[in-house]
Amino acid sequence: MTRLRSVWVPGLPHLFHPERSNAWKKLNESMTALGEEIQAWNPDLIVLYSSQWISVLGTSYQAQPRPKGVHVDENWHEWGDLAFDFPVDGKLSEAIMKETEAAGYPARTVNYEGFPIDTGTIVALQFLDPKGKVPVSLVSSWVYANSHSANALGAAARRAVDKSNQKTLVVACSLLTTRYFTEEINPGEDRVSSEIDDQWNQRILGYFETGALAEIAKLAESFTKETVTDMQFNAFHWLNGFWGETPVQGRVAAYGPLWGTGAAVAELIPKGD
Amino acid sequence: MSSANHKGSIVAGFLAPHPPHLVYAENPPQNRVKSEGGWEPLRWAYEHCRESMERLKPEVILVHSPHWTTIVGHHFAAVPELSGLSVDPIFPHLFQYEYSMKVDTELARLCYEEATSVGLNAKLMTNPKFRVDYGTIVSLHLLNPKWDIPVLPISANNSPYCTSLEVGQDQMVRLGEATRKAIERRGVRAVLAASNTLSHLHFSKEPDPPEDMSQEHVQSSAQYRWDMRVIELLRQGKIDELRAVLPQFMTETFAEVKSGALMWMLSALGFPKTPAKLHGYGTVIGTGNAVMEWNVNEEAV
Repeated sequence: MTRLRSVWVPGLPHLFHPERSNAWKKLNESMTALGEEIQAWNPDLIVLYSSQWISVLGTSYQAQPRPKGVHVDENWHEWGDLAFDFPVDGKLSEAIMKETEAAGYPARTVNYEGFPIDTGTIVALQFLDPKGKVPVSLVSSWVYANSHSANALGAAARRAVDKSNQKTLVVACSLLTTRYFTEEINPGEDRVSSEIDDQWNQRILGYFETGALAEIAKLAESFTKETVTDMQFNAFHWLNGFWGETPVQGRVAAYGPLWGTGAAVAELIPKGD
Repeated sequence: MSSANHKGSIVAGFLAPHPPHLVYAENPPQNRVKSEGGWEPLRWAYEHCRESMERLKPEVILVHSPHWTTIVGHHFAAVPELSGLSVDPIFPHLFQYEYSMKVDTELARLCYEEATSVGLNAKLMTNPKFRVDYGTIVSLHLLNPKWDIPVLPISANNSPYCTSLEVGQDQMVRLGEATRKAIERRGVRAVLAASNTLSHLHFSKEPDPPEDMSQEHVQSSAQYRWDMRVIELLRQGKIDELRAVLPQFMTETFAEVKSGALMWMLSALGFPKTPAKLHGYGTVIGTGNAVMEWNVNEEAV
């Protein structure tokens, strides 16, 4: 039985408004279907890296037992409240933090009432575990990470997950390109704002489909240089580090725009599973 | 509050950096975390600001914070009262602050009108559950710990980062002009707070405890020299020269002023050639922080 599974998902509140745009609807439906598959798969744990949880003093790992509350998005605050309530696996967060430090990178756990949970985490969990049943370990996006260190951080997470020996869903919550439209748009006419970004995204996703992570890693520098990627594409490097030498196969369920950005719903699982 | 028939004015502007360490070190009752002090020179600098606030008696404080980042346009908080717990996502162990602030929603509406009239994208933030960012709170607390003056939080539009520096700074100039007109229409005595650090490269490791001042120093000599150059230009009122070097300063020191608050404030003040008053300079985890004041309208006091 498969013990590890990973997904690449976007985390913008637009996904909760499928009625406004066919493109958003397509992504919403794919996220919903993926969430149903994950719930049927019934993981013991979720490890979620969010490009929208920015940390500065190294990587942060959430350890508050049960974050609960209401978050209002900084930009799309008029679209309502984002409620969240989910369990956290503090032991796993602690274990990943220790593996991170052992690898020579700064890390800390955070366990504070009222700690702000980011939009990406809330949106992703709402689709993947809407009932808030599965304990989660949240991973921040370290602002000073590069491809090498993000890869090492993913590998650190893998070591901790392997030691936990539990059925684990790994989530990379990130956009591909992030060239947002900076003005109000008609959501029905949303598109990836740059043709170059669009071409690059599709090229990257072609390799996702075949699980060719090494090929993506080779292209990542050019991708980041020629487009505007989400947090230097570090979610990918982290995910690539997580899988390490494990051969994977991929599936791209959907690709489309979210306010000009490039968003994909994709999956990577060990080859043969 | 003054009548809308009376023309309002900006009575002062402050460069009001927002390291949460300064609130942590002060140990106010609102912050759940307690310290043994630290960063006194910067906190003493803010004491001068507080004295000015007492003297100036503003009716509203407008604050532009880089930690309320918006993608689509410039946003103005327009909820009469905002309250809650604000935990800093970067330094949660230092800043867990229970805030409560009254917002001048009418001024927010006028700022929105003026901003849109000069072609800026703008939006009113009307969600009462909105969590106010720590940058806004820290600057406001340090200027007015009594919280007895209405405020207007303004977001930092992401344009300097997602378009170009030139486009972004141009937007802040227009936002400043729109803000000034809105204040005049509102008929209030206003103070502006630009919630920005200068050089922003910092250490990624904290001492234990964080307030161990034996470990506090500037991140690099180059960064220090840049900060002194910028401060000196502001002290001499050489605003045109400042504007010419700002892009290089932002690039070489990762300066937080790139997010626009300083440019917004200087624009609203009419790019004053009068010298700014330096109340103090200090580093916080290596970043350069200057607390400065512009009294451009003393006769209104």
